[in-house]
Amino acid sequence: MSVIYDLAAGFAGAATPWNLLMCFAGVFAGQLVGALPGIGPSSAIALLLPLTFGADPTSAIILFAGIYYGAQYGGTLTSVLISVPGEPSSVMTSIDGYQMALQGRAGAALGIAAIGSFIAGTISTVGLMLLAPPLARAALAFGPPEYFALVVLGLTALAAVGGSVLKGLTTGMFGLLISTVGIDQQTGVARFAFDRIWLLDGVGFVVLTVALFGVGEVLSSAGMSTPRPITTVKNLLPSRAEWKQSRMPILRGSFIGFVVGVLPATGATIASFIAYIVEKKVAKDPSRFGKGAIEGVAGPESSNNAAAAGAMVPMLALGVPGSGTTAIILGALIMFGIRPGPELFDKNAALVWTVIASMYIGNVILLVMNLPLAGLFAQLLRVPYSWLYPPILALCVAGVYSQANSIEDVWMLVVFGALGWAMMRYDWPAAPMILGLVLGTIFENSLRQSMTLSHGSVEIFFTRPISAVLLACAAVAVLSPVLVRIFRPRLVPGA
Amino acid sequence: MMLTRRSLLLAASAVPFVGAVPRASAQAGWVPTREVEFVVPFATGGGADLLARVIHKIIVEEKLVPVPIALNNRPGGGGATGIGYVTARKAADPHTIVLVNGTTQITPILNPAARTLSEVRPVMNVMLDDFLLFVKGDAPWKDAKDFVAAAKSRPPKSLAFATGGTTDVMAVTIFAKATGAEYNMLNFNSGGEALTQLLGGHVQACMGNPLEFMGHLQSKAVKALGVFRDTRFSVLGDVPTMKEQGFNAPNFQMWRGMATPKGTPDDAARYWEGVFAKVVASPVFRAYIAENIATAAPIPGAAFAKFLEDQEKLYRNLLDKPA
Repeated sequence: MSVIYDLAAGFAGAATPWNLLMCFAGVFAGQLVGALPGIGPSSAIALLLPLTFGADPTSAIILFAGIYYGAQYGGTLTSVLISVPGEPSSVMTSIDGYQMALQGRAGAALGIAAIGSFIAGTISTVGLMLLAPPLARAALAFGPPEYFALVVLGLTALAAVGGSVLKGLTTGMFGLLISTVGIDQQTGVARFAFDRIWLLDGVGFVVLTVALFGVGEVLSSAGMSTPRPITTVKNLLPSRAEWKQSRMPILRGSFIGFVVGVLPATGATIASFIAYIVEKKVAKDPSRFGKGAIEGVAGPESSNNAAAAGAMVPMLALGVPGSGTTAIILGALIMFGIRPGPELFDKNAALVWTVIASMYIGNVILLVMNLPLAGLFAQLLRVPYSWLYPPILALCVAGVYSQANSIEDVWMLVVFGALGWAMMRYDWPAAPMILGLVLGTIFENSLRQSMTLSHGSVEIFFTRPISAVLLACAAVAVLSPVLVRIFRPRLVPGA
Repeated sequence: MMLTRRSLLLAASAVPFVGAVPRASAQAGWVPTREVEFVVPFATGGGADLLARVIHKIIVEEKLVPVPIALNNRPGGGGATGIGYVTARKAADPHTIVLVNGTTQITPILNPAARTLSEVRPVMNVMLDDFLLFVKGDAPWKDAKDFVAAAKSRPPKSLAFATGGTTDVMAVTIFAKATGAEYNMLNFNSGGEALTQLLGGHVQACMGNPLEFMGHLQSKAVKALGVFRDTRFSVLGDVPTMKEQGFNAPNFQMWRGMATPKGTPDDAARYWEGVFAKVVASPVFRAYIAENIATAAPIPGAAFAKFLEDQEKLYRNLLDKPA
């Protein structure tokens, strides 16, 4: 019962005009930065931080949390409309979302993303409210071997995205190779940097994503001999049938996103990958994926939003950051004289509950804001593509430059953009390469950390229960198509 | 529970411009005459960036310089990218200031292609961060002596440290050299991740700055067994120093300071020294230091250069990379 009492007090605190304004400002700003590649929620919060010095910490945290989960909504917009994921966690959305847009179903894709995000955001806020302390303690069971096993499970998605398994694995491996460029985290030594300072940090996720998806798409569309037909925007909102198809993916995505989000250092990106594979695995007809399946939008979009609330769990219950963005919010708490730690829930109950209440309100604001906007933005595709691609290219270049003010990043964009064009031209999937790059670093580090811990014995992966179970799931994911192929002829004679 | 109108106005004025009212300065000699660029060679949101933003805010709000001052984040390569930018575009320009720290000093030792501190003129150190040895609250060791004895009674590398970056690794290396025991080291992205590993019991110890561990120290989820300092910490009076416990470990603290481009004239460097001295003395800075459980340590000009030289020797010695 105390939960209800605390939450009521939280709503009372969050519903003051000023805090409501902060909540609105946060989700609005989040939506905006989420849509722009290059600037993400973490830099937006860092930029706003000095402006909030001396302000009330509760209002400031409401603002920051709003930016964080608002950005997950915003990232959808550019991924669906122009195939430029604004955030790492929207890469999966752009695969089927952009195909839907090409079919004139952009409104449905954006609409289902908004509804799914709302449901997921609300479900995971309930989870945050009821389960935060025990969940946060459970998350501590994740040491290097468990992270390694989780990443292996994520890597099984390499074969799941894109048509051909062989091509998917090849580009995925290439992504893993690229992830080794730069300073090695375990020893601090530079690898494959060729004495270039700008390569010390490796190839940025934003650079590769914007290049392969954004620039590649623009170049290949511009290279077609016949101009792409102007899309007729059919319905502005998801139809009843589409909503029915999306219900379960939204629920599954919410669950996956929340659980993966709770684990420190994994976050929304891996959550969206796993949600996509799950949807493809459980689908009756997996071949629809990659060609505009609405489940491929509903699952990952719900998942990345749920993960944003999940990442608040270790932050509020343990005082450890669950993601890069929550690390900055933690820094902000310290600036306000609030020491994050296991006792935050007890000692600063008013702040915690007011922020949680504001998350419910923020999700409603986002839904109200996004449903009409979905239809409005979908109209953008009525503009002839030849008018659209110069501003899209400009957005790509500006986004990549602005994240580190680096001209070398822009040159990398040019090179990888050319590669993106070639991959699209010869039908090689780009998503596994991004997946390889994102997961590669965690894969390598957790593997080496585990091996250091076990003094070189691989037993550590099988003797620890969580890691063993996750690896077994990965094995099933890889082997199930093979087993199905072996057994199907016997089950269905003549097939 | 609300932002006051005043704080809102303050917030609005904190946009990177100061009022153009020139302050009558007692210092003769050089005074900035156009916009100053404040280069931060680290990404927005990190610890170094937050410090830069605090310094920037103090300079702007207390009108310490008579011109606008704009922050410019140039992250990458452990500080080398930002300092490379200063070298290429702002050589000898006194209208440029740069944030530097221990990481910028370690980077070129590990990667000689990356040039950092040799390319700037260090002006003043502003703060020092301490390192403490942390174990879980329910660990069987009472002090660092117990811990070392346990490490020595088992096969080498039986006890594992989680570290959150190069500077933590250095602290563990110092500890290992001073105590003559060998430890396993697992490096993570941040002190926060390292702490999570300690709380989960995957490693036995952490070597880190007090900031991240403070909340857990208060709730007794972790305990501190020793600190690398000459004297005890005033905030953590019950944590003994390593020297007290009989380990001859050198004083190890991470420094953070300010610099101008190489070749900046002496009078301009003196001007900036004056500005940073006022920054360190301001109440906002003192509050920042207190919240971060760090030490304000204004070390000006020549003394800063000498300090950096000593640090360089210590780092090179620890990393087995003689100059």
